[in-house]
Amino acid sequence: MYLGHRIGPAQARPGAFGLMYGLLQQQSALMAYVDVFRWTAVLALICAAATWLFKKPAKHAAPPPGAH
Amino acid sequence: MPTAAAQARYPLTQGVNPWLVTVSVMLPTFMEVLDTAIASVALPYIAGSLSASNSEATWVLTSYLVANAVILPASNWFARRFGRKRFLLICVTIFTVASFFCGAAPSLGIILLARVMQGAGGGALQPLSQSILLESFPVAKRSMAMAAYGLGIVVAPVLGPTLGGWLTDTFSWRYAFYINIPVGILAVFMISRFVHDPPYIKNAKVGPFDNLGFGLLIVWTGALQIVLDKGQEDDWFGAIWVRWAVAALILAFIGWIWRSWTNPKGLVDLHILKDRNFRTGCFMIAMLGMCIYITIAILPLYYQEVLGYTAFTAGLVVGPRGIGSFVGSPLIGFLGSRIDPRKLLCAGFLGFAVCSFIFGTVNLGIGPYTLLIPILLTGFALSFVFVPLATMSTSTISRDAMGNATGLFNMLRNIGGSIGIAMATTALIRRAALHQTEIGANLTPSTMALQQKSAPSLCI
Repeated sequence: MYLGHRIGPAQARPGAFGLMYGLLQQQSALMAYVDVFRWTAVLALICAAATWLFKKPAKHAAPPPGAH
Repeated sequence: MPTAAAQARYPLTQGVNPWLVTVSVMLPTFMEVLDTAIASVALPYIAGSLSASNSEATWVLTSYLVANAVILPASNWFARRFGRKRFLLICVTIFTVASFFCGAAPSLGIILLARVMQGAGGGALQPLSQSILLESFPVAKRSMAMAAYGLGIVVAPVLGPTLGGWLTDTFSWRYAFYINIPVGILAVFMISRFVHDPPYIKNAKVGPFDNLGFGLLIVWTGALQIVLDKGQEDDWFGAIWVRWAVAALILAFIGWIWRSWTNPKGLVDLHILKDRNFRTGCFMIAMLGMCIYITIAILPLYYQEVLGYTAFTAGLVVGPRGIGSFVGSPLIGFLGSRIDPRKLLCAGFLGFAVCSFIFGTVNLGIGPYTLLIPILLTGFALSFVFVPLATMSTSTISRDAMGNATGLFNMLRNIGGSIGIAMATTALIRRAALHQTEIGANLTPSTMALQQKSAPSLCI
């Protein structure tokens, strides 16, 4: 199924622009999601580093009410 | 009335089998946790039928979280003032009625209002049911009670997206809210029959309510959320109302800190932040709230919006996270007392970071199983974070300051979560626009891709 055959050679160019624009939007949306996922990962890495700000715990401290 | 024999057998619950109490309080708690997850897969559908954009639909999540957060530090006072059982009944009733209005909402405004109500009703359910459970069992059986509680909290997020997606696809997103109504009615019935207040709550003497502190808390959290949610739409400080809202936010925040610092009998006593471990814990739970809620809200949205999945399939795809935490929870119970919690925490966060990086490698060609393992692992990693984090943060807090500490701690988790969701939705819009410009900059009429597409040789 060729675009030029389907909508005629004269319409093929604007049609192609439309298709490209759709692809462009899809790809940029994808990249935005990828950005957010990566930033979340960076946030988690900061947390992993911040873990060592805790002072050493008392041995066998029971989990308090309110865990979760 | 329970018989004398039953009274003697279960003195703590005044003659009721404690497992009946467990079921009664876990029903609404389960429902409350389920509800956060249920709505996340239904977002595009809610947006569609209320003629809202996707970023507007995420307000359905953030408004709930904020209302939830505000109630948390106040729940202890309410429970002592009105009696725990009565307060629990009021909460469940508000939650159930609000669920009906969420489902029946004809416009975005109404559903947001109903969600705020629902969040306010649901906020106290977790701490209330936890303290009721702890007091219903003798000390020796307490770990079983906590296991039942943890199971409920962990299973609900597994079922949430899948059940929500199924309801949304089969009937309508409205049923994801309506499903709370029968559960709520059953819960009200069971609580009124099986739960009794212990004497110390019946005779509790409470001080006056910290009206000023509570009011300031509502103002600053509300202003913060509105600015973060709606700022992008109205071009941030370009809009007059954003400037006013930020002014209100800053003033109320400073006022709240001053009030909570100078008034030790207030809603929240911030002096507890002098404790180093608790301070660190507060910082981390807020960050963790961001991480978790971003993943909860954004991943299903990605599958639905970018890959075109239905709500049910998206729910099935993200569901394994719950299975991960289901497996992880007993393991952490076992390891928790043997290994330095800091190591567990660090491992959990690192695991979560690795999973998020893997999420960041997706493209438009991924299948439903591509992310199965990282999704499973995030759940597993999160169960490694939750319990040790709570243990570490409160390890140096005295027993009588515990209520204050957990109230603040849980509030920060929710506030972090709602800030995270709001920032992530804003980032999605801005970054998509940026990437579109960047990619578009390389598309000229002579670009190969365009030439190929416009040539009659293109296969659609």
